[in-house]
Amino acid sequence: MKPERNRQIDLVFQETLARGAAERAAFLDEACAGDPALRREVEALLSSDEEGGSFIESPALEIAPELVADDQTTALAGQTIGPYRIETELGKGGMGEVYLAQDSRLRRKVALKFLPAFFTTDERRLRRFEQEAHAASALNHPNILTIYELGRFNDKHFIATEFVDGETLRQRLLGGRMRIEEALKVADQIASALAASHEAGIIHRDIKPENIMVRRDGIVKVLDFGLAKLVTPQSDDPEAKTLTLLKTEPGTVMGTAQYMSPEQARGLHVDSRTDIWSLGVILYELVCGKPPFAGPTTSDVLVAILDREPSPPNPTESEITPEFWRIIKKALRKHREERYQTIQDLLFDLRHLENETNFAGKLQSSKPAELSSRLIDAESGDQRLLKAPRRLQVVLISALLIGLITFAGYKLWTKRVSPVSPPSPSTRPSKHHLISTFSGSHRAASFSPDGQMIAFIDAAHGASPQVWVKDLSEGEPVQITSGEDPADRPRWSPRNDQIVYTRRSQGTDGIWAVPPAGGTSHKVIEGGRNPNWSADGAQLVFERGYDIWTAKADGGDQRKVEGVPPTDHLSADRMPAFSPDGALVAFFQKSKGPHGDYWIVSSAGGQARRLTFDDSFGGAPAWTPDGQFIIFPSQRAGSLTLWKVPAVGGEPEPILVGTGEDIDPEISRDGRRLIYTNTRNNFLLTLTDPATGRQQELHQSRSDVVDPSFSHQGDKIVFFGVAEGGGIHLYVVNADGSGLNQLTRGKNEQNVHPQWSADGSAIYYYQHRPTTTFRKISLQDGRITELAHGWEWSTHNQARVNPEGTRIIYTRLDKGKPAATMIRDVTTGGETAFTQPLRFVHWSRDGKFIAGTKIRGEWSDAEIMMCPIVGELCRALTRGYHPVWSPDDTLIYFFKISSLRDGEELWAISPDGTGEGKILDLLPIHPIGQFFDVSPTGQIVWVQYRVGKHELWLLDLPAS
Amino acid sequence: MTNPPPEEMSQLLRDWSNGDQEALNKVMPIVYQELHRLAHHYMRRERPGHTLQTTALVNEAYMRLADYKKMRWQSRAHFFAVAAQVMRRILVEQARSKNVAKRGGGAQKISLDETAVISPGRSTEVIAVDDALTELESWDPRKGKIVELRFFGGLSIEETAEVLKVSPTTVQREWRSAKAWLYRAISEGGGIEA
Repeated sequence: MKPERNRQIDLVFQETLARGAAERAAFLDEACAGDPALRREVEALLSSDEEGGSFIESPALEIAPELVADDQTTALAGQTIGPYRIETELGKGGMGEVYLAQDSRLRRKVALKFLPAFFTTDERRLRRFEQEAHAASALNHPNILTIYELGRFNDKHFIATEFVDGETLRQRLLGGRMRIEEALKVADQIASALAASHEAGIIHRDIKPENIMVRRDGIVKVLDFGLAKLVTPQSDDPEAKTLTLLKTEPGTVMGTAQYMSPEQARGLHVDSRTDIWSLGVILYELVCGKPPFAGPTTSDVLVAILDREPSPPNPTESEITPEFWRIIKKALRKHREERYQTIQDLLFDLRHLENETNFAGKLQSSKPAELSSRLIDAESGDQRLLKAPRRLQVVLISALLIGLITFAGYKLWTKRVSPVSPPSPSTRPSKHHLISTFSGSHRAASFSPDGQMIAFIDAAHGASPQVWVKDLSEGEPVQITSGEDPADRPRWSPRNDQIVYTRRSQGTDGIWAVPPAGGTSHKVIEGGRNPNWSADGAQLVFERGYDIWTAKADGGDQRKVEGVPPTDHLSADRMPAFSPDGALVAFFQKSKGPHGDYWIVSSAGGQARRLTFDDSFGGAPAWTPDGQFIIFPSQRAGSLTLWKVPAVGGEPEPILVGTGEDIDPEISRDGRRLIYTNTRNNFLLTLTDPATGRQQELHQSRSDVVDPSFSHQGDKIVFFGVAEGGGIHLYVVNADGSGLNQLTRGKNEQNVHPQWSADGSAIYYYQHRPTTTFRKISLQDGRITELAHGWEWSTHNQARVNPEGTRIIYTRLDKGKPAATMIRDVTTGGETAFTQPLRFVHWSRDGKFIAGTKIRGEWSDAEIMMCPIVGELCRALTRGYHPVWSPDDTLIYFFKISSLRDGEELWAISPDGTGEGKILDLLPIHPIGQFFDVSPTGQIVWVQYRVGKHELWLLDLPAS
Repeated sequence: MTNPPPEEMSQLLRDWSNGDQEALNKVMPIVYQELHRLAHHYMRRERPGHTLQTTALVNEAYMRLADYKKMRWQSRAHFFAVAAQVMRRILVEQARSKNVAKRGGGAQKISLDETAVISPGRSTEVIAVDDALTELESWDPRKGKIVELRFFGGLSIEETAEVLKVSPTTVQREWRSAKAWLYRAISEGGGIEA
């Protein structure tokens, strides 16, 4: 029907509705005179109106909540089960959901694995599983996961085990194959675990990368002993057995099949030699980066396991040595009688190889050898060349020379010319040049393909930031983009035909391109930002919304990269960077506010792998041209400087030392030059006297200075900040700026948000690392007393201890739950809920009142509340937030909602609600560090944040 | 760095209300992401059968995304309008994918008797409403907006009136009329593409 007609019908319909039933017929006669069709339409609507009733009266989400639910499982996070308080879900698989929990009795973290009900209905099998799991755990082997308890909650059985802070071997392998040394270390530990369990008569039966955890310190833990037996029915039908085993992990059937021994695939009775086979499969995968038996379907995989010999590793993709290859092949004999007969035999060979490899490594480092060789895999008769990398060739040759062992069946052949590959940057650069010798504030530089020129951003003299280019050897910089819309992060195409950059226009990001010589820009990707090239210039990786995407150079074929962990942070920038071959994407993932770590994900999608474990401030990463290392900015050792970490994982090493802040690294394609941005932002611990306006800077730092507060006497100030050498620590400074003293010192500790005890003898604070506690440190003897376990600032917010030191008031902020203000008794640990949720709670000095912020709907409606602690009858004083009592309890200072862009208006009001007035503007203040305190003389301590000039620096890197 | 900081959310919403469609394109994915995440989060926590409060959800998304310190009420109204659109998109997308999965993509006629019952299978109703709403919007955008805010955004008559800057009486009248149009379209239309 035509719109006009509909509107006509609607008009008559509404007019009819507005009339009483008695008048309707007459009205319709008149309104529809000569148009019976109109009357029919209106009458149809009238009957719809009558019948409709509750139709769509309930919002869609309320009648169909299942539409937004992935599944109907009731998640357990937040629940308490016996002594375990469940914190977060760690993972989910066919064998159940795994949660991180806190054991309240023993105050330790545990992993709780809930078994699917399907597997736990047979009590007899369940008991056998329990026996076996306990027996393995009781071996007390460092590489076997310790089981604390097998328990039951409602109908669900769970296993409480030690919590392993690390990743599964599967996650580790997603980042690519391991170096020989690393693979041997891992394999050795798996074999040791199996040796111990086999000795005790326990077969694992399901050894696979998903069941092996690698802790952050490199310790390997084998999980799930006995579990495979639980899920294999006592059936005589061999095929049924195989299928059941395969079904244990929905969606990951292939993963399971790939590690099955031939006897398992046939559904035959298995013995300890099945674990030897599975370890052989893992060995192959560790060094080759792919499983030996693969195929498009499970049947194909099973056929390969039963009939095919594993293909020798591709020499360009693996550094496998003949001896390693021999070990793998012996573990992968189809007939178990031909395999290693015991895991000890396999372990022995692995250790032998490990020793040789380490020995060769030492030899090489003391005397760089130029030996290289060509090897023939004589055993298989395959004439394929095994090009072993230099270090391992040295193993072979040195071993032969020294006569330690002989490599029967292998011959040394002629010299191999090693391919020229770009070097990775050394930790000792040879020369450092300042590029920013001209005016302006320069950042985010990108090399031209020949490394002779750079594109960068200049935001000089308050003008909007634009893209500039400069010849590094001579000449003036040239501006190549213009306009009011700010440009960011130019990246020079490896094909030298364009420079892409982010442009923000009318509030929307877009990726634009401009010819390097200047000219007209055109939009390449709508809504995209932070582009980066693959080394061949064919592809771009970029961000849009909360996701990472790839596209062709012209913006076509856009694909979202799946598997990137979600982020809660509003500024989600991950600054993705392609590995040179375009296969991987490195990025920075924020996890705790602006702090986070570097991750890698396959550009085709897949599970992302964490590369660093610092929870540190970071930024855009860059790859070395050989794809071996990621260069990244980090505060992991204090100041924000550049580091490198192997792309396959490992310990980061510093590239630069100094005060920073160094960001936006990029390496020229020949690997000889590193360019980066050095920024000069300052945090200033500032004391302002509102009466005179006098401002005194007590302490200055290039990195964060946060949350200062006065001792009750007003003579000292405590705050926290990033410490030189890493970690976040507490500092005390005298109120005149003298005597700065770092109070906590533990390496990599994170101690935050300190407050004084009333008598000045101790300081309360949160420790976020290595423990998660609210605690007290004595200033007399340094003794630490824990007040609450499992507390962190973001969940148990703004904990404040009363002047008597007997009660803590804090605000519980659980995601998705309304805030709740709690009062905790320090001695008993008992808690009561305060009558209403308040934020930023602050005790009066006499301990009889609290001031807090009530947030109702919107922050701009936030109110300062004053509540007597007895009776809890709160009273709203005024609009504002973040109240702080003056030391004599006569005034409450607070921030007023204002339109100041980079500052806050400080106001004060008397506790009876009279005499409100503005004190002063605090600006420029750090956007995330809006804290202040008031001294007994009315002085205000706060932190100024000054954004400084940016400079470009160039490093010549020595050839390695 | 180039994602909108909170204080820009209000600006974007203002720009959008002033007719800048680009601003909406920028806001939508963020709101979508946040609402989706929150909705999932709630669904996972709540017991089956528990009612999700749409407005509470939107409020929370708003609190998390917008520069709640400095945002004026008008921006909040705009936010609800955006959120309603986003909720519509989320629910309809989910409903379509569920129905395709469940019924192999075949055509499906629904019985309106079901509407009084809270049951699974409501996905079909959501799709049907969306289809009929699209038709309604084509000749009366204001009715379309009202249904979107009420049914997908969970707003009351009064709240809808505030967002659209019209009187509650107008909303009430238009809502009643829109319901009749939609009910008729769905009950007479019969075949509904799932």
